Amino acid sequence: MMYNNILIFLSGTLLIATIVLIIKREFSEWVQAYKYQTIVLSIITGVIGYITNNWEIYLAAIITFSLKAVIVPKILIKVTEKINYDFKIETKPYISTRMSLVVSTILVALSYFLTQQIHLGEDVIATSFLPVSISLLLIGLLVMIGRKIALNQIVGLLILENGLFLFALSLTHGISLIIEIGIFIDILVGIVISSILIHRIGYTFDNIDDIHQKPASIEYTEEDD
Amino acid sequence: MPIETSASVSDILIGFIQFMIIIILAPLLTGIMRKIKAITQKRIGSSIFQTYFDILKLMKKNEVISQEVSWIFRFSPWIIFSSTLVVAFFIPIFVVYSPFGLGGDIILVIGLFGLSRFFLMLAGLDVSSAFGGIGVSREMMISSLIEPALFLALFTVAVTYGSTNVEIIMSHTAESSILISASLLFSLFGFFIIVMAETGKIPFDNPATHLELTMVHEAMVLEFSGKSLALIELSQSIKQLLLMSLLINFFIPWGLSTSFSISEMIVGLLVFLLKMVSLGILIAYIETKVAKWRLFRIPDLIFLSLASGLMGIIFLFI
Amino acid sequence: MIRRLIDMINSSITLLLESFLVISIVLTPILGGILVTIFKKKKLVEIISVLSTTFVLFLTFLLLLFIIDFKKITLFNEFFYLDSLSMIILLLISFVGFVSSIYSVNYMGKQYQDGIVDDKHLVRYYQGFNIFLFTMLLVPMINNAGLMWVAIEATTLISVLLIMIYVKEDAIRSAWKYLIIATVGLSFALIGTIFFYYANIHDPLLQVQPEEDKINWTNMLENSKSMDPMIVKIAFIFIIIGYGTKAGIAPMHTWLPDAHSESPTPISAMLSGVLLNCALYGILRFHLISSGSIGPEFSDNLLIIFGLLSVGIASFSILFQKDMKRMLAYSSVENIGIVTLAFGFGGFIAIYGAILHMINHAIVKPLMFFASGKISQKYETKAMSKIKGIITIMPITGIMFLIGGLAIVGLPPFNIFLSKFMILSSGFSSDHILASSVLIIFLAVIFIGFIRNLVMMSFGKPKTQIKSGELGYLSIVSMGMLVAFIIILGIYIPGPLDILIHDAVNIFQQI
Repeated sequence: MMYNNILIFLSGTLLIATIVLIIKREFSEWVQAYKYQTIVLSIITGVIGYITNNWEIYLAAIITFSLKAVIVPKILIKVTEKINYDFKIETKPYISTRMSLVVSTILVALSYFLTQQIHLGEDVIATSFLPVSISLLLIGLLVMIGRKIALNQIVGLLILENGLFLFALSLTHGISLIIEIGIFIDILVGIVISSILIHRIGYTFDNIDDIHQKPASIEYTEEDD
Repeated sequence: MPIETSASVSDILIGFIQFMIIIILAPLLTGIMRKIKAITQKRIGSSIFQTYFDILKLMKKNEVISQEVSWIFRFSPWIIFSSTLVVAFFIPIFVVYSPFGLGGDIILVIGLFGLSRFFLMLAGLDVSSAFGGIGVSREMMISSLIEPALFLALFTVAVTYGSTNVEIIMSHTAESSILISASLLFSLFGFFIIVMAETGKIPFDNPATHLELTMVHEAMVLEFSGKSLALIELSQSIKQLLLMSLLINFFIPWGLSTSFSISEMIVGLLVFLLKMVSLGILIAYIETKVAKWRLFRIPDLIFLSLASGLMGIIFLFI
Repeated sequence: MIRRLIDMINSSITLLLESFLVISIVLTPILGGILVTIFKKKKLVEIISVLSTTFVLFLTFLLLLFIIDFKKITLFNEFFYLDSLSMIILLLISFVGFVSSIYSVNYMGKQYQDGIVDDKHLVRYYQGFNIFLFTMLLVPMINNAGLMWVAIEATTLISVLLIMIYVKEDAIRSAWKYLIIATVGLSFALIGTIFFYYANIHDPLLQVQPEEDKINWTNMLENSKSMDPMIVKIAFIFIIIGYGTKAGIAPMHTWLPDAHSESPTPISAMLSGVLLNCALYGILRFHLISSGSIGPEFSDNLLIIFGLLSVGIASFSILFQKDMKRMLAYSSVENIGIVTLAFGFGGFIAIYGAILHMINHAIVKPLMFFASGKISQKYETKAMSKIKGIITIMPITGIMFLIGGLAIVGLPPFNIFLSKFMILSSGFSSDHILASSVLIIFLAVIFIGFIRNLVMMSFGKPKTQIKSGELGYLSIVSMGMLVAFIIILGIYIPGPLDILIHDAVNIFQQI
């Protein structure tokens, strides 16, 4: 296949863009790195559209680029402008950066292993991008588990979502456009809502650790017993 | 394969010319990179030949040597310089031929760099000043992490092209098409980070500063002066050029000449210079773009290179 | 000839009516939301919401008649698909929505009086309420599995907004937790959906051929025989984890107690009463497809395991619970677990019981939440240890709370007894004796925990001086309706409902 080299090259680039995301510590750096990852993703989407010759996928690529690489980072940076710096920098993650790098390497290997269990046939797109998408999903989950800061969990969610998008695209060569648009709208609304939440977290909580405590309502004591 | 084992006089001559080019151009590259950095920071900066002037000036100066030091301190500049020169013999830059071709194993290259670093660290400790100690301990921490990452990155290259000999690898890369496997992309990424670390670029080290808290390399060479300092500076420049030419010839080898015809070699040389300068521009750009990282976060960055190298190996087997 | 013409006219009129009904059911809440945004007066906003939910309920009843006649309706080029199962969910949504909107007027009015919410919040609340209703109504009506996922995700987002109406730490914390966990869970559900779609379009000999309508339920169910069993298995696991997170099935339920206890009470009732059922509906649809493809055993076993786990975890959580609304939330986990388990048992009686239990729970749980909302407004706390003597202070609410509590633990003559009895008896008569025995033990634990707290709260002498008296007649009206249903459904099941449930069970039996 003549595309093979390009596809492999692109999937490698996407993986590198993903693991670069992991070592970032500050929220603005995260958003920046997420932006680059999404740009790579939209290029991949465009290439898949070219191979399958489907205009809907071209459209999805354009939407991906404009929504997730331009609008979402802008919103995220804008709403976090006034938030205390303590909420934006990851100083003590649950899983250290080095550990998560090693784990994510293992996850990549795992996803390649898993994909080989599914019989995909001669499908070039699926064989080259499905494992990458699964690794993106797993790495997104890892980021969400490993990071303490609420903001970074959003980035984890976004990575996961990128993985989901690529997963759907590579496995089925594009679910119908109306579903894609629905998913995009959900993301946008989700980002807006989480921005509102972040904003509120910013002025309601004094300390970053507060958000991880159990709700006070369980701490009631039985005074009269 | 154009390389014959029995070398004629002209081959040796060409090899020698390559060697001389490395030594002569190395300070120029350092100068160019400093100039670019100055321009991107909106400074005028010194001339690109400033490094030559510095070295010549240092050559003329007298040496001041502490009374406390042993022979190691006096000898180490020469050992560092000579081991770097030996590496320069092994690495082809614009034509796939080096005078010591058959001995030019990649592991030997890493070993020789290791030797020079070892003596630099010994000399830093030998002067028994506080700065030397700080610099050495930092250098040890970084280099102990760099070396496995470097091995991983180069291992991927070696397996892909089926040899650890620099010359054979390069003769393969010169003929291959664009990035024959994804694993090379990962090792390129890992190798690039290592080059940044080894040459003391900004997320890792800042050679331009003399602040005790930030310096790594400068702290070690603080006690050197005169000829010794000139030698160390020169070998540092050569090392930088060699690492960058390894990167260029392993991963972006297009234009590398494989025969001894004059026209091809001239093209090869020009393309090489072009690539070298653009790589220099890229590195200088990155240096102005990012801030120096805290020392204890540097391992994170090297782990990134390590993870990338590991992924490259995973990709080799799937 | 004339006969044929009449038939044609008849069928086209039916089609027209059905389309009108479905479209207006979907559009009414949106219209309500828009009107709320235009008129920002408190009174008007309340009236608009009540009217819109009443209208939706009315239309749903009309649609019910069609469903009972025709069994299934497909409209707009198979965009909408309604059968008895989705009709039941639709009925529950519009009913609970209606009751909640009446209760909201009272509850939010009290909050407004107390100065906890202001005009801006009130408008935001009613906007959210209407849109939330809209997204939930979409879920059972859409034929397209992908769009159904979009609708369920939309319910999450809107309900997060509703939870964080109050700007206080606990509400924000639980809204955050809910948003993150539910979104991640639903991502898994999307993966499962995509896998099912892939199994439907994938042919080992041919290349992948995407087609628009192959993601529809109807199409997937038709082609389920030819799906790759391996992929179907993987896909169903993703589905049960994904939609299970949203449905509050253990061990993915961790968001639920927080979200349900921190949201405004009418929203808690909707979340608990119907939103969980919406997510469960997703699981059931894929359960049907999976059963059609690889036989029912695989998905049945998974449903039994997850259901039993939910009941178990919920039972011990209820035993040690100190917060009233959290206890109710855990009780939702328990009941959803029982429903899941019963669907896993299979067989006519078990599935009939499961559907009945779904309905009963959707009636009892709003009552419990409504009563607890009133109680916590009166006592200004949610801690059960500080609430004593409800019956003496608020007699009517107290009695209704007691009835709800007795109903939910499964005492006769109330409705939940009937459905629990059906589920257990079918469990013991089929070969699921072990699961049923464990279920009985868990139910006993729940009984002890729940009754103990219920009695401690209802009786005794109130500690602090609280003025006795009810808080508004509208809350009594809404709770009274629910109590009436609890008692009626405990004694007999009305004819149309029986037919509807029968038809829904037949959908499962035909596979």
